[in-house]
Amino acid sequence: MTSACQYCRGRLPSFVGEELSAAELNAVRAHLRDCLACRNEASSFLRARNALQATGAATASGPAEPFFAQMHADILASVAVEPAPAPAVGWPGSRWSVARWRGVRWAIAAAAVLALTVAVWPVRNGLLDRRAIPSAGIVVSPYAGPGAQPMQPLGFEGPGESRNQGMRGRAELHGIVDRDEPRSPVRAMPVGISGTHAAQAGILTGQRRAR
Amino acid sequence: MPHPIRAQKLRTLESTLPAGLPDPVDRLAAAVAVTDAELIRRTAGGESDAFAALVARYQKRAFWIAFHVVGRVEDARDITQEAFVRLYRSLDKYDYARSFYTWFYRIVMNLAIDHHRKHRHDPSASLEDFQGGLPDDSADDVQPIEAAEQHGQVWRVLERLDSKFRTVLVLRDIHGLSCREIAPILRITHATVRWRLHRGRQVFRDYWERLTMEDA
Ligand SMILES: [Zn+2]
Repeated sequence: MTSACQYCRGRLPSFVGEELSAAELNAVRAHLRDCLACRNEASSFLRARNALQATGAATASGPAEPFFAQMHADILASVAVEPAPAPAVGWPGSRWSVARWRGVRWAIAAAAVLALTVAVWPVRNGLLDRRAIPSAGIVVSPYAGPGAQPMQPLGFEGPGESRNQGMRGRAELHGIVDRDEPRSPVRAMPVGISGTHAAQAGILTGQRRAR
Repeated sequence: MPHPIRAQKLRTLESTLPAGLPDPVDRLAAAVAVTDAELIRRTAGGESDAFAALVARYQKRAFWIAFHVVGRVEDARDITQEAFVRLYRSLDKYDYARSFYTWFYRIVMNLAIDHHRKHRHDPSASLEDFQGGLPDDSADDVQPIEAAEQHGQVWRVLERLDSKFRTVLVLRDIHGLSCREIAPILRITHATVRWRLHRGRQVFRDYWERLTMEDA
């Protein structure tokens, strides 16, 4: 697999989600035109995403209207016995509810206890115990031998995660963060799956698996 | 950030409202000029129609999000109802400077994720829940029976996904929210949303390909 293939494969999940930047999209499209293996990989991602979206769209017209009408009535009935909560205290639009002020009071009390502990502890344990200071001639220094290596980020291997993902994958993604706007024109319970990027790259045609 | 109601491409606001609402509630729920924050303000002021309108606006979306996470109609219905009760009880904590739907979807998602983690190995009735209710899915480009089979496979794959992947796939790929909208709902960073989508689509694709290969 060439480095161009690696670049392309690392972006295929975002490609099918239409979340790539224009520059990345052009690079991926150009590579897909020339590379059959990556094109097959892309259509595999598309088949999976199309199936997911089709299922979402199909179930969305499941329960009939009376189901929702009943649910509406049940929700209102379940709150009918309660008065509406009082507006928040403090200035309009603020989040300083009664519960929050209560939380702040606890935080202040906890901070006071902590401050007292910090003030008393060294007097009792450290500063008064002069024998703890090493005598002349003994040099104490933190170990930093010549073989010390800078720490490497650990790879993340959660359930179902393969090796070499995690931090490394995040680094790959780092370059494409912040680029999912403007939002996809195909949104919210898509019925007919278009796969704009894919269609433009010509990889949606004739990809349905023969059964 | 576009409001989800105004941004909704495939459904109008009217079609998301349940049928048979009393006239004043229906009018209030459909009034685009009356914001969600205004409805909350009126609810806090004791106007019961305002809360009824808020429920009407969001109950279907809340139900579908919950359903796609937990996979069962009855559970999704309970979660939706519980979410509205919690919402009602915590209206005093609402920050008027922030969007309502982010706050409310967070309540729904927390309940749904919690439920999914506890019950993910229960036998799912998700597809059976809709047998007979599935529409003639002509846009799907496959025959109804084949489509139903495919939906069943998708549910089986979703069942196997970890909650952290399932939730982002549901919100982004099924419900069409942007990564920037998803981040505050799940209380994770935008970069984490992107990462989970990336891995989630890989894991989903791998399971799905394996399952369809086995069945072919
Ligand atoms: Zn390639």
